[in-house]
Amino acid sequence: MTCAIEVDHLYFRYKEFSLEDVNMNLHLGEQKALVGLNGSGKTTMFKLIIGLLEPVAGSIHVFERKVERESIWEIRKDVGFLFQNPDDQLFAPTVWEDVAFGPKNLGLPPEEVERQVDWSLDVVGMSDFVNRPVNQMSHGEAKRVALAGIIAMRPKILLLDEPFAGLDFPMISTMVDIIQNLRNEGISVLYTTHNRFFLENWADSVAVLHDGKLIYDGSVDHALQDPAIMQQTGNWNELGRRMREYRGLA
Amino acid sequence: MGKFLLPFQEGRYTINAFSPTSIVVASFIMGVILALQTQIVSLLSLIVLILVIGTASRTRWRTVLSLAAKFEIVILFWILLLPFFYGNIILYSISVPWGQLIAYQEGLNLGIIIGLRIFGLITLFLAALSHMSLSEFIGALKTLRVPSSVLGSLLIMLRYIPLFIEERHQMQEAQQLRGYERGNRVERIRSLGFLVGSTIDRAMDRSIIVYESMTLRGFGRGMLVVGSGVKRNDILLFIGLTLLILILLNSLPLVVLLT
Repeated sequence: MTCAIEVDHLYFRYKEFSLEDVNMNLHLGEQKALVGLNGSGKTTMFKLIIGLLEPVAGSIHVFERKVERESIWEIRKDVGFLFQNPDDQLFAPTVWEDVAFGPKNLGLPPEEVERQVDWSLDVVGMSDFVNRPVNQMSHGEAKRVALAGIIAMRPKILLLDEPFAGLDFPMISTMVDIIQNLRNEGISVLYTTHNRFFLENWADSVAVLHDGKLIYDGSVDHALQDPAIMQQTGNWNELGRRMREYRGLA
Repeated sequence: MGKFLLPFQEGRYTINAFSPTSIVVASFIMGVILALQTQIVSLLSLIVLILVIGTASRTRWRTVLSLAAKFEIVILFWILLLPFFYGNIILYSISVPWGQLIAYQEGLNLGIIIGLRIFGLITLFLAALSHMSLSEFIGALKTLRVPSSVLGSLLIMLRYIPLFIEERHQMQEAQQLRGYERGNRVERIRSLGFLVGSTIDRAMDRSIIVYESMTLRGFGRGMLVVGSGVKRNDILLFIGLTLLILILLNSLPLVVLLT
């Protein structure tokens, strides 16, 4: 199976925190959950993959290209990173201008920029918000616009940092559908979550981080049966139960 | 536009006779001309010229002037204080308990000149920016080869100063909700200092993340930003500017041109 992302004996250290000997793969078209308690290194892992941080040792390959200074711009065209807080990403005055920021930076001609923006806003169901100021949206709307800004660059891999955090059930359900549709188009997805629901119902595989160490990388079924692993994902909580009800799952 | 600092036009692309790059360059040249004036009458003439051109090009004066009015204190500071510090010709003197307070003619003139320059420059740039969208402004600066690091800082500033003000306000409200009552002046200053300090700290962290997210979407080295290009009409803009410079060099009163 072709690897979209290949993490090989990765080490990283920052102040009190460190990632140690992390080995992990994301296969082409795969949807993988990266779970772990707060401070376990999930976001750091994402930042290393996208080249915002540099590892102390080890390597990361994206579509067989090593993540390093020389290749970073090409890699970032293929990998979209959705920040946990949409306010960290949205900065332009209006939705259209923010979503158009990436395609413009890619040097696309204006008509192609228009097309990409229209397409991505349509995918996230925000076409009616095109002229809305970005600071006049709810958290859920802002999150969808932030996602539109990422997919407007047509990445092949999506890194989603807590994509459902702070959303209500209808909005979570909408986000699940949006990401599922993107995945159906062949995009590989690596996402972090604290909730077992999104693991059970959504992931092809799971990687578990604990204190900067990867303690598991494999099938979801096996992970769900191991209490030691499940301790890192949070409990089967009210949110999971209600989400199942909301989406009509057994 | 709500909480954004500058009066950019909303939407995708604006329909202007001139390209955003030319508007930025022309405003800069006009700004330099304005800043070099040392006579009140020539400064006033140039401000009138800016207002006339702005009105002819349908500038949103209400937005522009309401933003310019926020600099009122800075302008008044120069006009009201300079007369007391500089000059020889006594305009008037007031007896105060600790002696004589003397206002000088030259100081007043200089204060008015500085005040008019500030007002003229602010109005000029705000009016120019009100004719383009943020994207077009970035495109114009990119065409002018402004480094990405400078552009990035500018964009973050435009986004975060209003957020910074809002956050300070929210923190102040949160303090009040937890029983904080405004005490004496010293206590107020201490509290405000803490609020400003912590919001700056938070804004700094956040601006780093925003810059990271911008680089992830291709901002900076390695990728292309389409510049705003130039239009054929731009030549008219620069002919007008050249004429203005010639008139000023020949010391012809600008009022003649206006009438």
